[in-house]
Amino acid sequence: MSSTPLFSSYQGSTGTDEMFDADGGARDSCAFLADALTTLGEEEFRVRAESLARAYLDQGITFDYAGEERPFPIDPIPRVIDAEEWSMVSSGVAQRVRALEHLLDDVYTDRRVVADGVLPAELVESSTYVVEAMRGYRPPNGVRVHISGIDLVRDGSGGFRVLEDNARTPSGVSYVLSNRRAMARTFPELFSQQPVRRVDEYPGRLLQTLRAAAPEDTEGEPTVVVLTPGRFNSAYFEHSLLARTMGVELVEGPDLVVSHDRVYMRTTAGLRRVDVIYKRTDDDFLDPEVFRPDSMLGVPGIVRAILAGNVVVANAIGNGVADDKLTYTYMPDLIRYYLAEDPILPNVDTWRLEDPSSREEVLDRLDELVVKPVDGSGGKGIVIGPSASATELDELRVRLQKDPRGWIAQPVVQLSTIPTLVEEGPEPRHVDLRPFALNSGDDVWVLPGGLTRVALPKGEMVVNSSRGGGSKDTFVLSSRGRPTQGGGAVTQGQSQSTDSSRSEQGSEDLEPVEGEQEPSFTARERERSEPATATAAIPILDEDELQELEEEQGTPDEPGTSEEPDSPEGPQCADGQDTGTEQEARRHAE
Amino acid sequence: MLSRIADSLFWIGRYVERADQTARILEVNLEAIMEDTGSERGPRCAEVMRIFGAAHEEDQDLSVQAVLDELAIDRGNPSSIAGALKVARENARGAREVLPTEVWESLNTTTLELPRSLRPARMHRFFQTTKDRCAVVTGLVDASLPRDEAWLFLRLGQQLERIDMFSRILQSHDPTDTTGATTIMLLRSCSADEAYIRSFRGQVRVDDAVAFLLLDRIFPRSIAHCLLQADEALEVLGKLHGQTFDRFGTEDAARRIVGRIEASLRFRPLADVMEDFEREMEQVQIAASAASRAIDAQYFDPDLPPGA
Repeated sequence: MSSTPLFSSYQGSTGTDEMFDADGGARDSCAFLADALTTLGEEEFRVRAESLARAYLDQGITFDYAGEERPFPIDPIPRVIDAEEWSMVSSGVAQRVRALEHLLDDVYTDRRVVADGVLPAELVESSTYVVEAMRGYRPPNGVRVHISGIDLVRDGSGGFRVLEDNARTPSGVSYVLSNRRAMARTFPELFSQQPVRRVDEYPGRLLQTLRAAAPEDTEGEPTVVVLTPGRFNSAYFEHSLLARTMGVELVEGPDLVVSHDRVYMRTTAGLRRVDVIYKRTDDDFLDPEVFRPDSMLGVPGIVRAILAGNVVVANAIGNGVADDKLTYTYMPDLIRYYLAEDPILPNVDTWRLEDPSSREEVLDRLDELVVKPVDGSGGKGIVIGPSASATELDELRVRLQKDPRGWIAQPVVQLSTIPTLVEEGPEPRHVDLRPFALNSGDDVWVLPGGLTRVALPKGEMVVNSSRGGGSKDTFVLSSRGRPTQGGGAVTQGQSQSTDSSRSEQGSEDLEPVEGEQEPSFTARERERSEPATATAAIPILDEDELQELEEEQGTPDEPGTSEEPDSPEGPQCADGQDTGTEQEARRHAE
Repeated sequence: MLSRIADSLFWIGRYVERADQTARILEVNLEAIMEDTGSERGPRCAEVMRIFGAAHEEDQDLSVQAVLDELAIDRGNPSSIAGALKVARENARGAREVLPTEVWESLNTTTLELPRSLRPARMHRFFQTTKDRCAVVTGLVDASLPRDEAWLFLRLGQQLERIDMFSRILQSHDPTDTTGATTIMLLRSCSADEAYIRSFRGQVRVDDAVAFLLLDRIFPRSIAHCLLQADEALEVLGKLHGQTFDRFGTEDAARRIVGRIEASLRFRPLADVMEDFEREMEQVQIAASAASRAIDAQYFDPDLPPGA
């Protein structure tokens, strides 16, 4: 064991550290972690941390940074979230997703929300993300936000708040999966102390979600593909991992072709029909007929195919209006309006610059606020008042006055920290959390944990991989005294329709959740978890037959010498036939 | 399977085989040059370059170092070991969803560890590592992929590349040179010396060696064996894509080309093949690349649907 305990000189003194309290003691939920890591000793801990980094390089777990493949740094000290808090977070995320679904459906159809005065008409009309081509379109199972990532931060008070909604193409889930795999390999002792909720069911759930979205007239099993811009995209690793773990094709634009409003992929057996496309490209690059005519990545005609109901694209085209940061400021109201519920997760306080009195206040206090463009993602365009120069602030002031619709302002949130290994040892670094949610139309499932991103430079508040960010494994603990629930899913009732009676029903389904929920299975899952019936198996040894033979011949040791290889008529024979037909039928179905 | 992925797999098969064979050929020939202090190195280095079609007019003063720079570690040259591995890795990166993870990781690690420079004193170690890594990749492919399209395309690429490489080595060999030492060198370049010695009980004769490398049906590095394997892979591929029993010969363009080379080599007297040996071997290369193009047209570049 090392002479100096690992965390002895750690100072998370601000009081917003998630692992240690102000007195330097490990918080209850993290005590097991601090003990286990300290027991390893600093030297062993560092050796393991290095092998963790090396493993990422060898496995090609990289993101593309300025044209270069770089390993995505994983920090060896995981984040811990206890069962009670997680159940609140996951209900809050699911609630948010349901509200976003209602909002998008409404925006692309009746715009009731505008008529009722909840959302100003100007917001919808001025949003650059409303895609006119999709007006009036409603997907077959009503879902538009199949996959979402709701970014959360923990503020000074210790509670989670929503920082932004990502209903277009949230990325990062592949790092959740590979972080867990790498941590379990490198630090097996961390998992023996406390039951940690599993994350590896994500790909299966994703496939289920995508299949559930298929056009109604799909024959047999729907064909799902993942559409990537190509291997030079920064998230290519993720696209490839998801396709691989779902067992579906990873296609690029030129692999697809539209004919008679149907989408096909070019295969070695000629062209094959595609039913559901998990799109990982931006809307702008999807269809040169509708968006940018110069796009080489797109598939001409794909929007026609969607509108004709022959293919479903997930997430839906035009979801950007949900990511608009001005829309974000209305989310608490929208949750109340559509779901008749109070928001479980609050927003970060936000000023709308459109509003003259807020604008005045913001312009006065520019040096103490964070200002964000409404259409930015990945930390682009953010100005942090306290660390900006006077000239930067002056320039910003001019831009804000010119285009108030384009900006929002927030106070500097005192983000929580978690010990993170740097050259000198563990030091506090700021983190955020992106939980991932899947909406199959029947329920919204939230992956336990999500991606914890770390701002690696000291004091850096913007947590993003393009700004030198790394990540941490996120442990969601199962509640004490209960066995780990591998398939534990927090599911809530979900209603897709904007029809008000149904939306009220949906709201009744959401009850305050206390402690860990038992996994609630849908009827289909319950069916699947029952043991397979015996008719599905052909036993190697047919004991009845064997016994008959023995009785006939009296040579129990050599059943193989039987003169009569044909099995007698009986139930076993029928079983075999059943299995055969079943397989045959399945083959036809494929 | 996506045409683009099938294309990638075919080329992974080719490039891994190319890296492996190049390492074997360079190892044998460059080590012989280094050991042999008596003769001029320049022309012999140029001969090595010629095998890979990389010889230039001014190459008479070549050093072993120059050959290593061009054919071992030049990442920008897909005919070099490093270049071939790099392209194989790039293709694998685009085909990860069908390749076993271990295959990808092996190719990725190998590429990450490629040296930036290589001195003749270190070349043995480098060739050895290359051969080991290629063996790991082909071994994993053989042990973990179902014999479906993915495996068949990898296999086809590997076999066609081997045919191409061996016909190049044979082409560069003078069949009228009957000295034992050069014949052994030829066999060693094809990693066939031990198998040959066992098959022919130690008798080293150039005709036997050429016959062995060209025609031995059960030696996995002979051209005839590779042709038979390629034909088999094409046949299975055809059946997977609905081609029926080839009772009246075959319509498959690639199979016709492969079958013709095979028939021509195997069912003519060896002396006939040896008469204009250099030209015959060149024709093998031309036909093999025609087969490659036929596969491309059939599987990697499907036609549009009617009305599109």
